[in-house]
Amino acid sequence: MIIDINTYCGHWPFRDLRDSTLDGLDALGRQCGITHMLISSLNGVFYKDAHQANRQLYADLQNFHGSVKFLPLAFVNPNYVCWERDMREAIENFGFCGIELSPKYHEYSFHSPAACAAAEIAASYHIPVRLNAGFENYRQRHRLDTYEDAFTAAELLEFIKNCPDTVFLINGVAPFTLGDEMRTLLRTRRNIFFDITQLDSFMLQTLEASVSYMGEEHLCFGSQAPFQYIQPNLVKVVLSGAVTPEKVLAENIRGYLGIS
Amino acid sequence: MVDILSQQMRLFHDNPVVNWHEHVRESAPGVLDGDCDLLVAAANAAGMDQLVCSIPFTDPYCPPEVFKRGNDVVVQAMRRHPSKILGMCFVNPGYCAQAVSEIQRCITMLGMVGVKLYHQYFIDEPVQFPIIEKCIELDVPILMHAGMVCDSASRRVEPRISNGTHFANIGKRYPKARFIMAHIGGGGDWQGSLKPIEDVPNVFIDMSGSVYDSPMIEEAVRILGADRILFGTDLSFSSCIGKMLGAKISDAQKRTILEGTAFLRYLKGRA
Repeated sequence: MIIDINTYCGHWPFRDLRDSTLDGLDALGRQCGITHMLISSLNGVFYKDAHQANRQLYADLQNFHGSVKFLPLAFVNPNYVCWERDMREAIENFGFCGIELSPKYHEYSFHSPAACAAAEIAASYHIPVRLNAGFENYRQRHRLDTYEDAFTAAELLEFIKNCPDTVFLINGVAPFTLGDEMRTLLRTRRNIFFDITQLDSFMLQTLEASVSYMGEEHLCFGSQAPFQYIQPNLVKVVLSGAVTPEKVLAENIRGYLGIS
Repeated sequence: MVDILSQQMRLFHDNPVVNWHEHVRESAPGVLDGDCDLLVAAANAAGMDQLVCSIPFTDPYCPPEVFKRGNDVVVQAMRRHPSKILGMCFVNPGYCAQAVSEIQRCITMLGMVGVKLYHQYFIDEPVQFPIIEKCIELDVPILMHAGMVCDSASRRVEPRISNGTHFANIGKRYPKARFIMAHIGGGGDWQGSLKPIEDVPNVFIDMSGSVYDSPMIEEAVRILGADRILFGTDLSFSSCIGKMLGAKISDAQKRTILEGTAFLRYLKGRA
């Protein structure tokens, strides 16, 4: 079993993504032995009403018959009208398995009471909240894209501390750079996970540094497909010897996603 | 899954692999860092046959005594791992006479296989011309740090980093020279770097760097052809191995990139 916690479908306006359909991702996943993908629609980043993207994703999933098991996440914009009603509909009626927040694109702060409320509602449903620091490397972003990553280490820390019962999936971050206070928090919070897309092993040893920083229990497999190739992250996990592959590929997170 | 990856890794273990972009380091001035052995062990585990290594200095004013010292450390690595490590000679073109003299020393006396340039100057500035002419004379390629960075912070740090437009200019001026535009995965607009060099056949790229955007390799093959792409890692082993495994190109094209077919002649007699 391999659970990829960092995948997307839909349209990215700044360059041509290939394989950004469910069928395309399914083909990529099968090539690499991926069994589950946590997926949200990029349209939810750019639509004024993010919930339209959730509806589309739900409809697409009804017509998908591939082999990868998609676990859909709803893009929630707590800066938009009726967000809470939409969020509950995605969870209760569409069966979405989590939510994703994107404060930089939706122009709100982690300090916003609504952002915390969304995370707390997610906790009440026992589903995770996904955060992504950035879809593309900061050195190559389009001038209409944001040049800043989605959150700073301090913002992330405060948000997580304010929502103690929420499961967080944090992608595109090098955990060992997050400081001592985060490390202390991670000793007592089991429900915070980081993907490995920004880490490397072998010569750079940032994967090893992250294990030293917080233990491997907080690490999960993520690829950020279709923005990125999946295989580099398999190489990190399987060939480097830096982590226990079974834990990072699935065991660390599966219980929090209800995967038996 | 382990089986799937093992099967895919046969691409590396069953074929010749030349890594055209790697580095060794100094642990102290003039002393080879022990991570050179880690590099070789990682290369062996990943099925890489040869590593072309250099020590570039990012100081915009890097003086001759420093770049000569770095090259002597590269020689230490070559002698420590003679069947694995090949050397590239780094110089600062701003010190024209010393740089040309150092290239002569490194290529003809120390057996290095090329010249490495960093961001002290754009590749198409006149200060580079004597360097390039020396490389043509000695028949060695030039590997240069490159990237089309889009953010202001990176531009401030590297105001003279060359991109595809600079390489296209110099490639046309010196059609007998062979240039390697470094690490298209090194951060920056890799699409924007590839387009200007499409019709400049003496400009090659290496695919190294920590960025592993899809479909970087497919686009590079479409624009340049596999025979103008060299394999490299620039310390990012997972990213670069994985890019090769994941790219939707033919096995023959992957083998061409891994072997560096067009550049094999530079290795003959020096390995």
